[in-house]
Formats: sequence, structure tokens, C-alpha cells
Amino acid sequence: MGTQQLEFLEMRMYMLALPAFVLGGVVLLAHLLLAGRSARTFWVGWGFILVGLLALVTSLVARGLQPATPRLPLTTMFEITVLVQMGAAGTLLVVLPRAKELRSAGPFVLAVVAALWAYGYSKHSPPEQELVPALKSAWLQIHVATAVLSYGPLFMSGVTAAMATVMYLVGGRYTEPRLPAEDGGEALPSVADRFEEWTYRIIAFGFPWLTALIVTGAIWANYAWGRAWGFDPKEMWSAVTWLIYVAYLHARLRSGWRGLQASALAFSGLLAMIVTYLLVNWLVEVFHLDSLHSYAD
Amino acid sequence: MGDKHVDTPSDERSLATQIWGLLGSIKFAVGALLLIAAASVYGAMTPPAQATEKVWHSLWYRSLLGIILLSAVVCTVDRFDGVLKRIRSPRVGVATKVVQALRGYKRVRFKGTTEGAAAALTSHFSRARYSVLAENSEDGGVSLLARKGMSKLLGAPIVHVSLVVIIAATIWGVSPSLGSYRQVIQIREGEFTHERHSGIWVGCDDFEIVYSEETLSEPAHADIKTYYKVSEYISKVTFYEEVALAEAERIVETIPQTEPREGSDWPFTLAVEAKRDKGGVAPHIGGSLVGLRATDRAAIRVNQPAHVQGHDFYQQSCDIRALRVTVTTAKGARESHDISLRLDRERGVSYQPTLVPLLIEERGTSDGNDETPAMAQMPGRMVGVTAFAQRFEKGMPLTAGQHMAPSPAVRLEEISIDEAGQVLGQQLGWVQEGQAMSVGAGRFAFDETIYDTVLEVRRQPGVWLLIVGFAISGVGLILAFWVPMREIRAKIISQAGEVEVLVGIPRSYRGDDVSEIVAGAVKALRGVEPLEGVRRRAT
Repeated sequence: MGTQQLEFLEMRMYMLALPAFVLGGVVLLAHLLLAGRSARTFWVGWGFILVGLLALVTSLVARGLQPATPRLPLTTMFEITVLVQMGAAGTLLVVLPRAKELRSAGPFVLAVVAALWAYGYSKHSPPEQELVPALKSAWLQIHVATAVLSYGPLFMSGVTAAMATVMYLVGGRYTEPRLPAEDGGEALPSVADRFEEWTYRIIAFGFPWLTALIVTGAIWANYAWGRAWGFDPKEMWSAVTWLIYVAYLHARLRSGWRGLQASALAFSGLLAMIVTYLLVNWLVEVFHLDSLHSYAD
Repeated sequence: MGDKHVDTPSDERSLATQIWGLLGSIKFAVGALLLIAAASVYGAMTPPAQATEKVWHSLWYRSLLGIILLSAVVCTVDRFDGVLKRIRSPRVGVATKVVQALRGYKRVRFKGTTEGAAAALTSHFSRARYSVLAENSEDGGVSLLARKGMSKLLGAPIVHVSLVVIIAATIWGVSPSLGSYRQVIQIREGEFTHERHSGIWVGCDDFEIVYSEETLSEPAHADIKTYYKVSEYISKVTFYEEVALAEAERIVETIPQTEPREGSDWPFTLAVEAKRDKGGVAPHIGGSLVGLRATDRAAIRVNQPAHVQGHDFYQQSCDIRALRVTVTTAKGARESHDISLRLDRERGVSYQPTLVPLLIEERGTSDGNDETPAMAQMPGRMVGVTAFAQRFEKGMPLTAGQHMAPSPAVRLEEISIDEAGQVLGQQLGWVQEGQAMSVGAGRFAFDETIYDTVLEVRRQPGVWLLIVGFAISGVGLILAFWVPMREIRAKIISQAGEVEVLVGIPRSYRGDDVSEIVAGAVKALRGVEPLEGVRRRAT
């Protein structure tokens, strides 16, 4: 395949991902709204998400194969955003079949993925032919891989946390235990509780990767700049994100925080993560700060 | 950070116990974590110079970090005994009502013996890789506890220990008294510096900025179809040891410094190659002579530090510091000069050359220059460099355009003195790097820009401890979050020739597969017809 065909394939596949995610969201919504909630409708929606994910994978592979990109496509904001979309969509594909209650989160998570898609589209640029000196390291691949494995699930956990928070605030049928057992058996937790429980489970998967993300970044910074930690705005916001999740995990696991408090704290983790991932460079510009991570835009 | 509660009434507790209890409290830990997160947000939004002073290096911020660390230590100490006890010697025998209150509780009765039921369950759980503990109860029954993945309990204490290790390594890394240090050195191409902590002499043989050209598919401007990007900063350096002059490969002369060079840690000794004349090597600039012998060479790049005698040399930054020009006078005398540049911060990243009058045409080789009495005092026609542009395109200097090819140029002016003795300049034009301009019968050439390379020298004896801390935290996190832990309790009671088995899972287990696990245990008692229907769990 020539460069032009690969460029064409990269963009076509990227463009295909959006309608696939939108259709996936619409079908999942229909599955939830229609009476009966047939399994077939769910799997059709799931299939659309899979198509979207495969389109993103193909797009990124096509980009990586372009002769102008003599490396893995893990560098530019566009590439990272594609990877985070893949992480979030992949988490959705894994979680939805396991948690029926969480299926209503599908369209919302897909809306976030679509927003990330739009952001990625706005940041699309030709592959970097040459990396800036700081990025020329084997740690780049490791660091970005951990970013995808943490950010993807944590984006989804943020959405479920937001939904749980709203449910706790609304109350009513969302917070009432479901199907109390006729013979005094164990009642199932409320929908809000299930969302809150799954939020924790997804964070429990993503948090070690978030830690690995910071650790690999520190080791890399030590190689590149001679210090593991430099109080750079990007570093500090990643630390803030980590601290919020640490507080959340401690509160939930040891202090018995559940419900609204835990969900709201988990959601604030998502907000901090969005600042770290998307807004730091903008803040650096607005507040006239210095950042060694300015290449990351 | 644990949730230990001290039961003693608060008024009877000593202050130390109260503080210990506070530090070990999870509410305190969560509060402190959120407080430091908020403080970090404030620091991250403050300009770096102020943030360093007001936040990161401030007593209050460090105290917060210290409190978090102390809290982690207290919680670990508090909880570790309990965790070990739960792993090593858990409570196996429990009352029937305890099992009845468990998740997914089921009860089956059949004809048989307690030993048979215990053996069947033990065999089932062992096949599923549970470790099974059994204990005879006083009521004649048998209590079973099947467990797997108990190492999960060690996860949180291990992560806490790793935090202590990481912070200890960090303190080691910033403590000069413990053998760590950091220094920034700045060396001009062709010069040498003595790094005082390591005792190593470093000579910068060459500093190079490698640019890569990238062709723009959609050029932003008709004239800019290619843009240039820094690909590498390479400092080619030689490391030397100090030897007697007689044994030296190179002899250098130290430069007497009167003021620090901008952006450097001070003091450090700079030196240049000593000049040789007929009488041998002798100081020429008022410094002292030092003999050097090369021990290592390295090309230092970003991400590729040099490791020399236990010290790491990192490429930190670089700066243009001087312009090398050559003036050939009308009489053919040729002399090379280095014109220093100063960074003009008021005008952004703009360099201002030092005005050095350069004689280009001696008196008597040209007419019409001795117009004023003041000029009559001058040795001849003088020129000077009055401006420097990093990028010069199509006859004009560019103030922006970092994506354009680097093409430095200097503005040359003829210097004259008016009747009032005021120095005047008359622009002669711009001279690009590598080019020359004729001035009267003389010639001015702009040979090259001279860079300073800025290297960071570090000795980090504690870096291995940092890596160990990271590795420990990885192990702890995997155990805490990814190792699945299961505990199942069973109570087997013999009642008038019948055996009753009660099975359930502790409420701390939050998984969705409770009914499957319990059903599997009940199925293990196959071949026995239950006498009573299993209590149905609402699903």
C-alpha cells in the first residue's frame, strides 16, 4: 500500500468510527426504551461499538504504517486521543455484557467517546516525521500504553459515577432495593448502588495503571531531564488526579463510603483527569505557566 | 491508611495515643489526601517561580506531605498484625447463626456423616485451588473455611510500605549530606569546566543542534513549504582528570571570572586551551595553568545522559552566547574575535551583542574618516556588530518563525564619533553566518555562532531505592486490586442420622458470582438427595 492509500484508509476508518459509535448508542438506547429489552438488540448495539473500535484500530495501524511515521503512532494528541477512545470503547465492550444494569450507561459513555472523537478530529495532523528530542525514548511507548489502560476505563468510571451521583440525588426508584425476596431472602441492590459498585470495580482496574502511568513518567523524566519529579503543571495535575482516586479508594474500602459521597468523589477524579489530559496546556497558556510537557499538544 | 479505632474513652487516653489514633484514622487520611490535592491544584495554577517558593518548597506543603507519610506508616503498623493474623490463623469455627447471615447462604440436609460431607466439600474446594481449613465444633459439627487469593490482604500494607520507600529515596535524592547533589554547568564550545563535586573536568568539543526538515502537505504560507524542527541537541564532550603539567595531554588556563554566567550554578571554574608561545605554555589571561588527561568521551543527548565515575551528565538546555567574527584590515592583518551576546529579557528571547569596536581600516589607508577631533584619536575606521538575528530571510531579520531554517545574521555598523564625542553608528548591512562583507579596503566575516551547552550533573545514590519503591508499589497494587480473593464458610452439623450443611460467603466479598460459588459447593455434595428445599435467593 502506498502512502496515499494509507492516508486515505486512516481517515476513512477514523470517519467510520463516529457513525459506528453513534449507531451503537442509538441501538443501546432503543434496547433500553423498547419493551422486552431483547438480547438481540443489545448485541446489535454492542456490535456497532465493536465496529467503531475496529475502525479506530485500523485507522491507527494505517497511520503507523505510513512511511513518514517510522515508529509506533503514540505521540501526537490525535494519536493519544484515538487510543483513549479505544480504551473507553474497549472497557464498554467488556463491561456491558457482564452488567445488565450498566447498559443504560452505554449511550452516555459513547457520547463521551464521540466527544473525544471530535476533539481528536480537531487535532488531526499528518504523522510526526521527527519527534522532539524529549520524546525519543523507549519509555514513550510504555508511558502511553499505561495512559490508555488507565484513561480508557477511568473515563467510563467517570460516566458511571456521574450517573450514580444523579441517581442518588434524584432518589426514588433509582435508590430503592430491587425485587425484595418474598421469603426474606437477599434483596438486590438498587440501580444507583449497582452503578456505584461498578464505578468502584472499573476504578480498581484503572487505578494501578494510573499509578504505573505516573511511575513510568517519573522514570522517563529522570532519564530525559535528570529528575523524576519537577512540579511541572502536567505532573502536578496527574498527581492531583491520583490523590483524588487514592482518597476515593480509601474512603470506599476502609471508611465505608458508599452512595452519593463515593460517586461524587469518583466523578471529581474524572474532572481532574480531563484537566490533566486535555486542559493543562491551555491553563499553562492562560496563566502564563511554564511546562516541559508543552509538546504534548 | 487504616481504620483502627481505639476503644479507650478519649479522656483516659494519653496525648500520644490520641495523636496515634488520629493519624491512623481513615477520615483523617482522606481529609489530608484531599487537602494536599487542593494545595497541589493551587500550586499547579501558580507561576513556577512563585509556586516553588510559596508551595512546593514551603514548610506547610512539606508538612502536609509529612503528615500523609506519617499517616501511611501508622495505618500500616496498626493494621499489619491484623492482616497477618487473618492470613495465618483465621477463625475457622463459627456459630451457626454467623453462617446463616452470610451472602448467598444455602442449607442442605441429607443422610450421611459429617466426615463424608467435610471430605466432599474439601475435595471440591481443593480442586478449585482453595486452601481448606477445618475445625471441629463443640456441638459435634465441623466448621470449614475455604480460601484463596488471601495475599490480596497484603496489597494495601505493601503499597503503604512502598510509599515510605519512595519518599525515603526522594529525601536521599535531595540530601547533599547523604551523597546526592545536583549542579548545572554551562560550557562554551571549545572551553572546559571543572565540576567541583565530582572533581571531573569537562570539555565541550562541539555542540550541535540537528534540525529535521518536514514538508508541509498544506503549507500555511506560500513561502513556507518546509519547516524545521529540532531533532537533537548533541553535546560532544570529553571528560578529563587533572594531572601534572608534564604528563598532560592538554593544558588549560582558568578564566578569572568576575560575574556568574547567566543560568548557571555558581561558582564553577571555566578554562580555555592555554596559549603556547616560544617560551612554552604560560598564563595569558591571568588564570592558572591546569594539566588534563582525557578519561572518557560522550555524546550527550536528551534521553541519553552520560554516566561517568558515578555521576550522570544530562543535556539540559543550550544558548547562543557569542558570535565569532573575523576582521581583515586593509593592510591584511587578520584577527578573530568572539563577541558576547546577552539575553535581552525585556524584549523576549532577543539577543543583544556587546558593542566591540573592530578596526577594519588603519589610519592612512583611506581618506575622509578623520572628520572630528574625537575621530582623529581613533586608530582608523571602526566597525561594530549592533544586532543579531537568529533567523534572517530575504534581506530582513525575522522576529518569529521558529519553524523556519535557522539562518543567523549580524548587523554591521560603522562606528564614528561626532564633535560632542558621542558614538554614532551607520548601518552597513546584514551579514549572514558564513558570509563576509567588504568595508572600504577591509573585510568583515561572520564565521559562526558559538553555543553554550548547559548540562545538569547529578549524583543519585538513592535512585536504586526509588526503583525498588516503584517495584514494591507495583506488587502491592496488583495484589490489592487484581488478585481475586475468595472465602467460603461451611458448617456441617450432625442431627439424628442426618447431616445439615450450611454454606455462605462473607459479606466483605462484593462479587457477582456468589450464587455460583455456593451452588458449586452444594453440587459437591451430589449423590445425596437434599431433604429440604434450598432457601431461595432472590435474583
